[in-house]
Amino acid sequence: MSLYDGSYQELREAAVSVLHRLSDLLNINTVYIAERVKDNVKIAHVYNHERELVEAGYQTSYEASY
Amino acid sequence: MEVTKALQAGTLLGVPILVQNGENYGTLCALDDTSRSFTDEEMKLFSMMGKLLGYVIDVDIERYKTQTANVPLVPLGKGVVILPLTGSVNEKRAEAILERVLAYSTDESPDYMIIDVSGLIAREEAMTEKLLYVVNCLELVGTTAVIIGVRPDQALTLHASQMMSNEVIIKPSMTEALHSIGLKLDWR
Repeated sequence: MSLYDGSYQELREAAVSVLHRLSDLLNINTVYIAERVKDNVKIAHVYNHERELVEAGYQTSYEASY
Repeated sequence: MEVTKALQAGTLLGVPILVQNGENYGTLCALDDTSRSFTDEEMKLFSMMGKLLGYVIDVDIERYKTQTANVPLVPLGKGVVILPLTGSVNEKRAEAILERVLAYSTDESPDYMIIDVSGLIAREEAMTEKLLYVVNCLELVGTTAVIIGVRPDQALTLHASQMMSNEVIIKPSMTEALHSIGLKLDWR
């Protein structure tokens, strides 16, 4: 994203509890936030409940992400 | 997604995370390796969380903007420039201020920079140190800093950090600051 290339401090703090809580509430293994970085998609934050389905930092092209 | 392909009969739920003027930050996704459906309520909750995360990112962006973009330099002509500092100054913003101020000073080479500190948030002791650093750096590139608008609480910290003993010019008001550098306000 072009608006800002620094660190998302507030998001980082919020993400930890929000992802965990969503996984609990929806009873789903993995909840993650994927960030668009130019033509790529990067897993910015992830919560895996039991099985590690998605890894933080994983990056793929935007087209391949769907 | 490559991940979902490997999951075969998996579940993927995603909502966009939008920021500010509708720009797309990314996606909030829920993923499982078993097949399942979601109730309306669950999907509403999920989409609301995506929206909320967008607001959280807005906060990050806004903070970044105020910290880095907010270095107002007001040229007064005749080699004098005014820098009114407001709000709070943390490490990041101090860095941005220093960078901007030094760049300006090198380009325009003003003789004096009047720094008004009255708008700074009270009781930020670390600020004094940073201010002194800016003043010293300015001196190196040939600009003399004049500090005005020191409040009582700031005076205490300034004194404590031995700023008084340095060759820092501190004046009580803009009028006196201008007068000290040879400019006179003349009201008619």
